Amino acid sequence: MSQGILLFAHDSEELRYGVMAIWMSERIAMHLNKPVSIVTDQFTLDNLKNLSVDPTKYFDKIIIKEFDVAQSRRLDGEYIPFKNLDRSDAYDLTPYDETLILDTDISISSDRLNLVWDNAEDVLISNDCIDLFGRKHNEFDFLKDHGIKFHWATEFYFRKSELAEEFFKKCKYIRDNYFWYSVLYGMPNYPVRNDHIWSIAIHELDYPFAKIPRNLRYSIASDNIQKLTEEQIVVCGLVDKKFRVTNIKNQDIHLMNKFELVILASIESEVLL
Amino acid sequence: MEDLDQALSFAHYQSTLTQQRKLILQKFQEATVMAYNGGLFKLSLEFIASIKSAQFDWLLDSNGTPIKITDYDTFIIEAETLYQKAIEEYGTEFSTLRLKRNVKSLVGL
Repeated sequence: MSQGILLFAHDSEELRYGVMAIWMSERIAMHLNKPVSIVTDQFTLDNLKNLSVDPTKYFDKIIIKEFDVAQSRRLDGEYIPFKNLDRSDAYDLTPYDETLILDTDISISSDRLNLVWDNAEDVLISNDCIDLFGRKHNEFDFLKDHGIKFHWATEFYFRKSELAEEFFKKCKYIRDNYFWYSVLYGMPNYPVRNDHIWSIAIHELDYPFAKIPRNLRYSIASDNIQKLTEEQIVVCGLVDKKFRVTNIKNQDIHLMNKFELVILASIESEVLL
Repeated sequence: MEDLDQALSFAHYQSTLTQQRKLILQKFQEATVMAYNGGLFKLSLEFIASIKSAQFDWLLDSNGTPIKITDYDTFIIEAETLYQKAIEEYGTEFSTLRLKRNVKSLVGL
């Protein structure tokens, strides 16, 4: 049974997801020691080549998936295009029997995710999360007030199986009929969010899915990442309008400030932007 | 770095200490999950004591999945070793944290 990690990275003019994927692959090699494949496009690969980076050195398999449509979302006060609609195709795209899908903005600093392999369950989902400063974000609990439970697409494990195939079939259906589902579940119809697709699929399949055994720690997009090294991350954030600072050692964390993360990841991976 | 200096000067010692304590507790909780024969078991002193006293062929893991325990001796040794390592690390980090008397040292700067 082959095991590996699947990343999705599609650059925009503003954000270099390819650079984050390079950094992730190095962190994964260091802490998880599993092969990493990337789903990307020619634009991202060309950007990496222009930065004198050879992607074949970092990835087990490079899977090209071109996009006609880019969405946009507001980050740091600006509308930024992004391409994320291929996550639901992971079942067809993965080269592995057992796959762990990860976002490219997770700082891997421990081997804890290696617990998922060879699991008795075919699918492991992620829904427990904690803000780094203990702030409460209702959007990560439920899709809306009195709505269905929120689940993350940020980290997700599956084994090639009937259950996983059914799950991704459902995800693709929700993605392709997102407007209707947004009306049904009372959520915004734009941009299409993978977390919401995952949440609806998990809700509708009504299967007792097993969970990845941890709380996904996260820092929000407005937090400042002050320091990022293999050993330590220092993040500043506002809590009740007061500055707070915290230090994380040897723990994984989902860092949503992608603008700062790209810069710090490029420094760590020695990629000259 | 301006943001960091500002944050350090305004950050409250007690709230920073509380946050760092929560983080090391979460780390301990994550470190005490053990994978065995396809299952994921949340370890505690009570769990270890129970597997030493009553040995059923099947146990429910933390996801409620029934897992066959093929070799109890190995299962117990692995659980004890993992728990001991995690609690020692937690204890050491906790003691170190208590000695830190300002925000800068609490966040390791």
